Amino acid sequence: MTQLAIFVLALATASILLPVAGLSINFGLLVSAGGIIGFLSGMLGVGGGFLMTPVLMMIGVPATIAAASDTTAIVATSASGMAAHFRLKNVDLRMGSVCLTGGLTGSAIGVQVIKVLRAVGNADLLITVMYIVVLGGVGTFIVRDSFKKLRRGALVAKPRARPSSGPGLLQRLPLQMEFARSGVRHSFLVPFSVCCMVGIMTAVMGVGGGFIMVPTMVYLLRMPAHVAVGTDLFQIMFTCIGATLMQASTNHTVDLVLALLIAAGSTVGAQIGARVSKRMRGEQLLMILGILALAVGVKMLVSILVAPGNALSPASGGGHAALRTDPALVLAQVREFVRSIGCF
Amino acid sequence: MLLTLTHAALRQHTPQDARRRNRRGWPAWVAMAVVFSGMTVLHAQQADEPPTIRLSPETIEMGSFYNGARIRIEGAAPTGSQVMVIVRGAAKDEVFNRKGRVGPIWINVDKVHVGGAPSLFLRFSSVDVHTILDRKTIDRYGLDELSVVERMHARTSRGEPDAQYRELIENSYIELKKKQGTYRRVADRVHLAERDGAAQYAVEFNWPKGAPPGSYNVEVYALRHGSVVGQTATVLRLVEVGFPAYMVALANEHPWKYGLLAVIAAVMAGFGIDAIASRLRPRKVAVPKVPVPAEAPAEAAKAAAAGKGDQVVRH
Repeated sequence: MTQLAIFVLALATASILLPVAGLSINFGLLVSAGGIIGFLSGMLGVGGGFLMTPVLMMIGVPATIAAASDTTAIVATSASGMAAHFRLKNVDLRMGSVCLTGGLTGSAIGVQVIKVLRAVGNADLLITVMYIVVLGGVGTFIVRDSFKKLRRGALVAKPRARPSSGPGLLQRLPLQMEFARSGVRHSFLVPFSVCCMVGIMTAVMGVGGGFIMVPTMVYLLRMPAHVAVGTDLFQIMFTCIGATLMQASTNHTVDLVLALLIAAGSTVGAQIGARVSKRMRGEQLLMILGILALAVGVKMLVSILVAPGNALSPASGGGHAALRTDPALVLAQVREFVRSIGCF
Repeated sequence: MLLTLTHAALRQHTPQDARRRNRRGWPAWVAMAVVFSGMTVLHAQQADEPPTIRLSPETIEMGSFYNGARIRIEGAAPTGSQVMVIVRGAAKDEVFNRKGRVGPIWINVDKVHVGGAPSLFLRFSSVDVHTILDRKTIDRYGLDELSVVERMHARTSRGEPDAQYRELIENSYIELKKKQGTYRRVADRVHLAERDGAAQYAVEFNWPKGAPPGSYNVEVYALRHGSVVGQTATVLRLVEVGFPAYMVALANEHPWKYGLLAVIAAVMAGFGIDAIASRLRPRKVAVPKVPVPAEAPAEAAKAAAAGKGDQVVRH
């Protein structure tokens, strides 16, 4: 037992070389940072990129490598979290597929919106303000709503599955589908359009989407919070797989050792997070998510109001959101990939 | 030229040119003065031989568990001189966001591309360089951060920056690099000892762990009487070996294979951890059904209802 403790201690204090980044970093630091982010990911269905990339940059990893490798780590984290949620019957594959399609379509539109914004000028200002308004708004709404529910009906059993409760028009839309796992019935067009809108927002704001997608699934698509978390992890995994392939082939910025070390911590964290989420009520989960969204929004607000210490900051290459920067580039990459593996 | 002048000077002594010598004697003296000063300079240069340099180690190998290295640089410099050692990384292009104020808020207002500045600049000296060298000499040899960034080229999204903007970029760049630990200078770190008619110098320092692989120029300057009297340079190599070298080669030469490997490894890690976690989960102990006593159906129904209710709430 003592020998095992010594081994673990030695491993935790050892340094390891990150080959692509070309720098040496403490092993234990990376694994524990991954563990904390993974816990949040498994519990709340957020990708974790918004936290992990700045943490990696703080410990000396170059911005482009931090963003790209973090994306690869999110593949592992979301796969672990999704598998755990899948076993708990919290993943709606049908809804996840529709949302993934809608989200990617929205991203393609969002890229064009970004181009227009950049041409007009002051795109960064607009994006920052949008970030604060959306995160602050979503966070405040979720916290208030969850707080009310927690106070009002702590022990009242809520019907789990609810039909689409929109006006008659929505129910008369074509392509009606049953989403059994979520316990809702919608036209294909409803989740597709909603996720498309979220895709546009995430492309413009440059975030992975967990923050916006989970509340959207709960409040607009009326899915149970646990299923929303599991389903969101499902779509995050596929988005990040695409982004990893793109970053590895285009920018050569994926550091596999870094990604796997973060993943070693985050996958375990995601498992614990998923278990903890099962012991919590939906409202509690949403409240934590809301507080986190609010905290990030407030942090952004403070960062734009207070003068920065240095006028320059290293520009990152974008993480999983990079997939949403240029669909033409993505298509070109996919074509090159297909050619490279010799399909035709 | 020296030989020609010497020859001309010797020719002034021939008897055939006596009249000429009397009339135009001054050039001979000038020529001789030039000869003597040339010889003096030559003698001085012979005395101030360039410093010697020895690196230990000459190559730093970065294996999987690389954790920095201890570097020793030593050699001999001309007697009576102070010594300065500079380690420079290759110039690297970098992109930065520039924060600016728009109304009451600070946001990214520009992209700044910077190139031509060394990725690493470490300076160790036996004395504070600014006390013995003037600004002009420091700039000429690029001996401090300011002179280094003056040579870099910066480009903004609107083209070349004006003087004020450039100054802001230079200062911010130096500040950022110092914070990262890649630009550093330490006075009084080089130890000097006069021995065997030369100033024997030595400096030891920890190589920055975060410095990327590549070739680094190690320069040694001998300083005396406010000027550089000798300089020499060698290369320190930082190379990845073993598994890290293999990974870098794969990432650069077969990026798609590397990307696929990364995805497969990540997905397998995720599912693998999940599989392990599900096996480690304590199995539920089967509770044998207890027959409900006929005489207390109401209590049993209540208990069942309570259990069910709890499950619904905690779905």
